[in-house]
Amino acid sequence: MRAIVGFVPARLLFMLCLLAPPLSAAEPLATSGPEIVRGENDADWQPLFTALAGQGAVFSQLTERRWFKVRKQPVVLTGEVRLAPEHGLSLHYEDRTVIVDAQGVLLRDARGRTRVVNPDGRNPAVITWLLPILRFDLPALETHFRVHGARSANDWRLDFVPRDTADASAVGSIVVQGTDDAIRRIELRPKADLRIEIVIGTTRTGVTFSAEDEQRFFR
Amino acid sequence: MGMEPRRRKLLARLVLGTAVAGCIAWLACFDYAKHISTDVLDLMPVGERDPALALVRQMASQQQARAALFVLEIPEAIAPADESLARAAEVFTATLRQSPAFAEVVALADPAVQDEIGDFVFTRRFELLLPGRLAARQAEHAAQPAAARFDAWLAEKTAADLETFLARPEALGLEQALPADPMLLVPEFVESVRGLEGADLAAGGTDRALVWARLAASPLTEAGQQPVFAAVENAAAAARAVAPGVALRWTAVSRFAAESRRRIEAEMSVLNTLALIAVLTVSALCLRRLRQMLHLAPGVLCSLLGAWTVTTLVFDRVHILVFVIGSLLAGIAADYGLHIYLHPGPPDEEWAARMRAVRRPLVGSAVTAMIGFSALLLADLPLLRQVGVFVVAGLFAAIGSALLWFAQVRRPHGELRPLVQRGFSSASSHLQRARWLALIVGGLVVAGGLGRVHWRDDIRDLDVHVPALWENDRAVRAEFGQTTEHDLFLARGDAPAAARAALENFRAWMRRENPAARLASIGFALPSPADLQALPAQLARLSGFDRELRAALERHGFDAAEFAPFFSAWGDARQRRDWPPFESLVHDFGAALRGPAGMLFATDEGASWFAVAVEGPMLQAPPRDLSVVSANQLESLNELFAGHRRSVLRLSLVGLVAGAISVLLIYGLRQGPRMILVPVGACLCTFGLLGLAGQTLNLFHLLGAFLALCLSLDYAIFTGDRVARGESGPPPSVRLSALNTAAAFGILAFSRIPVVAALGVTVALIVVLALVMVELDLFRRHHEDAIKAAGMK
Repeated sequence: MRAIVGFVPARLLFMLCLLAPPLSAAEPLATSGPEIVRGENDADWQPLFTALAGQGAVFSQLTERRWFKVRKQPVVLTGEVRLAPEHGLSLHYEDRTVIVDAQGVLLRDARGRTRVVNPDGRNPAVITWLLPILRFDLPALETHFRVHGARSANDWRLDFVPRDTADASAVGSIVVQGTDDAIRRIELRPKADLRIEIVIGTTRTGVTFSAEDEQRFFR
Repeated sequence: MGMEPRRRKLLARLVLGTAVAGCIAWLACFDYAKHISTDVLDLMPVGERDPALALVRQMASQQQARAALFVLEIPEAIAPADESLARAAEVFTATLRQSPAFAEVVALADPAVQDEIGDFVFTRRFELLLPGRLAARQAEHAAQPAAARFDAWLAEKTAADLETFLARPEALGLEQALPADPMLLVPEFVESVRGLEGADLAAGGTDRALVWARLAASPLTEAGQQPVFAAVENAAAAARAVAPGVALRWTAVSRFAAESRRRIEAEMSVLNTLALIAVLTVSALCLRRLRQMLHLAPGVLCSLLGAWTVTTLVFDRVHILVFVIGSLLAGIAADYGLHIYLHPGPPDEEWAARMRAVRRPLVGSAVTAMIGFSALLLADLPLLRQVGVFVVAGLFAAIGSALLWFAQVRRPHGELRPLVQRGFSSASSHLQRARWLALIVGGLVVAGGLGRVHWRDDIRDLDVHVPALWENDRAVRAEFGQTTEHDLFLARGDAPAAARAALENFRAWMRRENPAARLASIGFALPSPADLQALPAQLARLSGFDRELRAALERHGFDAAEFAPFFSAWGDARQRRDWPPFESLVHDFGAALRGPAGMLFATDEGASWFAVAVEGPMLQAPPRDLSVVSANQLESLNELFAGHRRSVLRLSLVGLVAGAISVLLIYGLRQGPRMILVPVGACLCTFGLLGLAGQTLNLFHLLGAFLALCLSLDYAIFTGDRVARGESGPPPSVRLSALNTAAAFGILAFSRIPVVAALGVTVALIVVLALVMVELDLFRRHHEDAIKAAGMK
């Protein structure tokens, strides 16, 4: 039953990894790089972080694969990602929308009924990770993560490793990969026997969401 | 009356002194905090015939009212806040737990409570959840005639549902539980309590921590107020010691109750002072010497003393409103003294002679008022019975003490200023015109206003409105995820089994009548007694289920071997013979559910219930035979008050008829009807005026009218009696009494407590109108007849 309570950090990590601009079809970098330390070796990364943070509102298609221990094949979901700096993040699946914003996490079903998803008491800081990663704000992220970066030509990979050892063992690292200033793939292993991979499809940046969309997909 | 004066004085002092000493001794020993209530629900009959209201009364006073909600927060400017906030919340919770004022304190970020509940449900899922699941699936299977054998059908459905579930966001959090629960018993239970306050609480965030607590004593008692406030203050100080920036917002019924009591006391204190000033001012203007007023004080004080004593002797718990309403008694009580003291006789008139002159109207007035108020003793509403006892006892004490007091005064004679003594001349042409004008205007007011009278019975009018506290309450509850988006019902029964059956019947009824709505109840964690009893037979029928399920899981892409924990538990369940009885499950369930979830049901014998939140439109109210009632009983309480208002109307009419008969018996058919006309006319005119002013009326306007009727009948009796003796116009005592009463209750009309204002405006208007009627000399013809009769003699 403790797994029920552990549900939230897992999903939050899963969701924050969906903050993804566009995708190309390059092979992912296989291993993590050295730690990025502010003031020492972050100069090369700042243009990327600035570009990711400055994309404005984003709309993307997503394909999500979930590897459960009890299944032989991954469960595949498709959906849409909406990121609006002033409203937060919205992940829309077939009949449900997950909304993440400064007030927390909200689940909305096809009939518009909403419910608040409570953060896990054992990992109260998890929800606070979301916004710094959304913004790719390195100083803020450094509070909770060690960030490792690797590059090969236009491809890049960032590994967010929780500084807290308990958090690190509970939720593992978050791997974000991309090409140029576009996120292509996010991987997380919230538990030893659960792996989630999100592939970001067609992406439009600088979009304007209609009032109807804002009402439907955000709080 | 023929008693020797010295002996009479001695006896009067002895009787009066003994009675006063007895009353003071009783009231000095009286436990006011225990026996005087400010709880609105105490105005409801304890054995209210409507079980729904009785249930809500129990829930409101014993369960939900004891919850206290706390929000600890650190302003954004103080960052990072989470660590110091966590420390502050920990210290706050620990300090609060040490206080005996709190029975339970839970930090919502602490997963221990949820874990305990979760562990209980998960560990005992086969006892709690499997019976209902198998019964539901069997019903589905039975509705499909062409379906496969039940165990094969169930296996296929289980695997398909599991596959669907894994594609939902919630699956990520429950993944570890799935090998032991492929039937999704626990996930579906979690879903079935979503939206239920207390079961689905928010846990706070990085900038705020939420703490829930249950008071040890009722918030409507002293033990549930000041000790609670002290403990909260202490805990907040301890939290600030570890996190200086931390701020606390909190809400509890205690705060409303204490503030309500404080405001009522403050308001009544101010109003009573202003009323006293008004009375003294009027008296100073009317009496030649103000100190003459002191002769009225013993009657008023003894009346209130007697009323308090008898009421607290008769009733174990008395609502404070009884004393507010009963303060009207002071007006009547003063009248008896006024009539004796201001009787226009020679200054050296003996007590016996004076008594002979005023005996008839005095006794007639007191008996009529007592008969009228005795009708209230038949009321269902405790408040009305208490007011009835208070006033009847007070009237008895008033007339008794007035007689005893003036029996020992050497010359009981007061003097009024000439204008008040004389009044207006009934022969004046101005008065003639005024009489006609008043009759026309009064008739128009009655004709035009009575049709516009609207009744509005709202129990909230009994309380003082405290907007700031309500705003704070709404904000704090919103932090806890409590909203008014749901309709909340209570599925009830005499025993837990009956309440659970009611919950099941409600679910079935909702599926038929309102399939779009969604139900959430902690009661769904318990099986219905019938399903639990059928479980062994169901398991015996499912002999091939484990084999079929393995195959189905493989077909749907699962690794069946991963579900070994489930197949092991299933095998044990099929072998099991010692399934617990329903009562045992209920006991364990009640013991396991702590914190907010523990307030969502009650398993007391005689009054068991489960809270049910309905999300979505409620197209119609559940029929009564479902034993499901709305938890929001405001409407029902208002209906109940409307019923009691009608009851008061009936009783008032009964009292009025009884009083009228006594007047007719005492004063005969010639004089009696005129006396009755004064209070009735004043009352109708008052309601007409209120109707024209667009004022909605309630029970307390009616109650005020009933009380004022007795006062105005008093005026009519004394005026009629005077006219019968060949004198014109009302006695001066009536003028002073009416002006004093109008001044005092005119002040009460400005109260911020709606019911006090209702009483004030009604009494003041009726009394003023009654005075106008007697001043306009409605008894004129009778007066002329009396003069003629005197001339013939």
